[in-house]
Amino acid sequence: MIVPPGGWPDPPEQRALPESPEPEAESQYDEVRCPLCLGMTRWDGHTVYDVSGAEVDLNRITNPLKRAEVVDYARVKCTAPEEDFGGKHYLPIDYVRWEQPLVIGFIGGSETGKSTLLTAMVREIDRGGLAVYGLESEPLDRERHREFELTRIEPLFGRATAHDPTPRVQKNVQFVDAFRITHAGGVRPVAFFDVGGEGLRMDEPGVNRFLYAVEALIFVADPALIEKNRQADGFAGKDGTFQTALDRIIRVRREQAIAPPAAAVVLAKSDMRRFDPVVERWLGREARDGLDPDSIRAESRDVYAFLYRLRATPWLYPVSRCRPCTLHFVSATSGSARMGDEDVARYQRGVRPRRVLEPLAAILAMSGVIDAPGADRVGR
Amino acid sequence: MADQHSSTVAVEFHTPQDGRVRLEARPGPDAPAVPGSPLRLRSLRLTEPWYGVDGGQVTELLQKRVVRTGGWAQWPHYDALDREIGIGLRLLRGCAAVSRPYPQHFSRLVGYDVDEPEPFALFLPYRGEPVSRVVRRFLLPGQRAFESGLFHCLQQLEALGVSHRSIGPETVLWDQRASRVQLVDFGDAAVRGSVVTPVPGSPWRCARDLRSDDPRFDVWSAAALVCYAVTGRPVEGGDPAKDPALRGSSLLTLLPRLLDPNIASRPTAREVLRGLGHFEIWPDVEDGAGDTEFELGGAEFDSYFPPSARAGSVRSESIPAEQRGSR
Repeated sequence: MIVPPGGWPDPPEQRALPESPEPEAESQYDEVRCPLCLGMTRWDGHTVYDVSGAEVDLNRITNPLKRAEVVDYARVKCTAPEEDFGGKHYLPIDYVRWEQPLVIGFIGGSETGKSTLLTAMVREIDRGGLAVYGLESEPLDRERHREFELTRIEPLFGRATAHDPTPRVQKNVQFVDAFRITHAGGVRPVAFFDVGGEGLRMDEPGVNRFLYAVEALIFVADPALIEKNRQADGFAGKDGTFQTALDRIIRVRREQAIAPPAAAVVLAKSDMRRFDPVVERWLGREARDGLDPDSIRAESRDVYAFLYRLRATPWLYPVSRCRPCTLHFVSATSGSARMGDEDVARYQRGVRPRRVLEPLAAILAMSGVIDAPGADRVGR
Repeated sequence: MADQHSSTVAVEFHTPQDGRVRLEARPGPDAPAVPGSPLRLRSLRLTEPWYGVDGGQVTELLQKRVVRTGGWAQWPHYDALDREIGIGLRLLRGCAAVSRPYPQHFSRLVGYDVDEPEPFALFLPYRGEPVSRVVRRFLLPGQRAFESGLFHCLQQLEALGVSHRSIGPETVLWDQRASRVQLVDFGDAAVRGSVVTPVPGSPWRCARDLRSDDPRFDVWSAAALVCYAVTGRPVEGGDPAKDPALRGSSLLTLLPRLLDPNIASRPTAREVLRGLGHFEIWPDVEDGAGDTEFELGGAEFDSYFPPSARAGSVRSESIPAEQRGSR
């Protein structure tokens, strides 16, 4: 069993559910951003909906065991205006009870390995991979997470089947999965969004809300694409995804005086370059001792220099625009998929993720969720 | 690879120069690369000569591969092959960095493909026979050539920060005619500063060294091998230097230090060679030395992120990523 350095954190103080019905009392819960519509919602503290969709007033349940059982599977109704935010919808109660959710967007073009990386990352979180940083994690929405397991994790890790590539033009921002992360200071929901570069060109309410809401971005760079786009002058051609996404995000946020988001640039599929001494030096390392800001800086420097050497300057764009910002070598699968006899692409060796949680750990440090010595230096 | 039932197979592979080559060859029978190894070794006799290695004519290659046996092969097998390829490439880069021709006392990687269902590496044919077959057959001049040749191998690996970690009677070959050592099978090798996979104990490894990436790991193994090759007896404690059969060894006076169980107390291969009066020594080769573009990139990063006065040194993470399976 993995025990984080310093032992497990004490359970967070759970805000007490109100005991007596006070229909007109102001909610003690803060307004938070709904992951489904990205509008702002506030829970009144007692109205929930059970698994059958029936409304339940928690104040009327006096049996603590029964109440806990109801709360465990309860949903709350999003209070963002229905006409503006896609109609009536519900979200897991855990999304509204704790700190402001951390919204993380994954940005990359089609076939960069973005979806595979996200799948590997979620699986590692599920397996307690964040414990080494002193964090506990639980799926925020069991149904959504179960579906993710069935449709993404099981095919990849159970049958070594490659994902279908993201549609070349991904026109929207997709909420993928979320976790409740318990840290020394409390509980923070963390939500993952899959963002196609094309989607961010669109002037839609959902996209615009995401641009305001996102706090951290994971940019996924593909070494094969960098090589493929190399032009006659030796410079890697432009991947518009990063620049398009970031320019739009920064411009929209500047109008609202919101700072650029934190960023992690990830060289996915690093196994393709594993015989390069720089990549070899990092790829086999696992974080056993928790957050190491100096190691993160050293790796970021090596990734930057590696991409610079490849003349892949478009992929370094986030470094010039985002603070804090880190860079990482990762491999979601440690190999490439090949088309097999059944017209299904499979990973012949099986699948072995390498360093897939490092970018997330860096983002959690940059966002204050990991509060270890030196965390304030990460990405700065 | 093409049809396995015909007498020839097509072999497509990457070269160390990032080229792509396709050859036709007749495969020989499979054998374990080394007894107990998960990798299989077979010869490939080319149907036509290939001139892809320094312009010389190549008519035969050795193929080392991971064989799929129905279920998924284990990751340790793939990792062993990756180490063969990684070290092979590192040796090629290393001799280019020191402006020397590729040393004949190392196996030479000429190609690989890691995306095949049975990934493989290709080498020029080995030279010589395993030391296990020449035990107690050295004449003194040959014995001394063997000893100095072996330590030349170690010194060059040391210059590259590499430990072989499986030096033994099956991985060290002796070419009697050329009076030359050849060191093969780098599947257990480690690079200093990279992740180190622990290796299992064996009579050819000092028990205290199994997690080390220090190239002096090989110094102990080489000394143990020399004792065995000359006396026919493995080192099992005591003082092998007292064995009369070793009286003529150029390493006689050094043996106690070479076999010191404390790795930090052993001399380096460079020191051993200098002690033997050999001064043709490779300088240390740093990863990325002379890589101007990489250095410029690092400097540009530093301009964005000035090193902090509060920062400590990067922790050395010679942490084993996983236990390697038995070979």
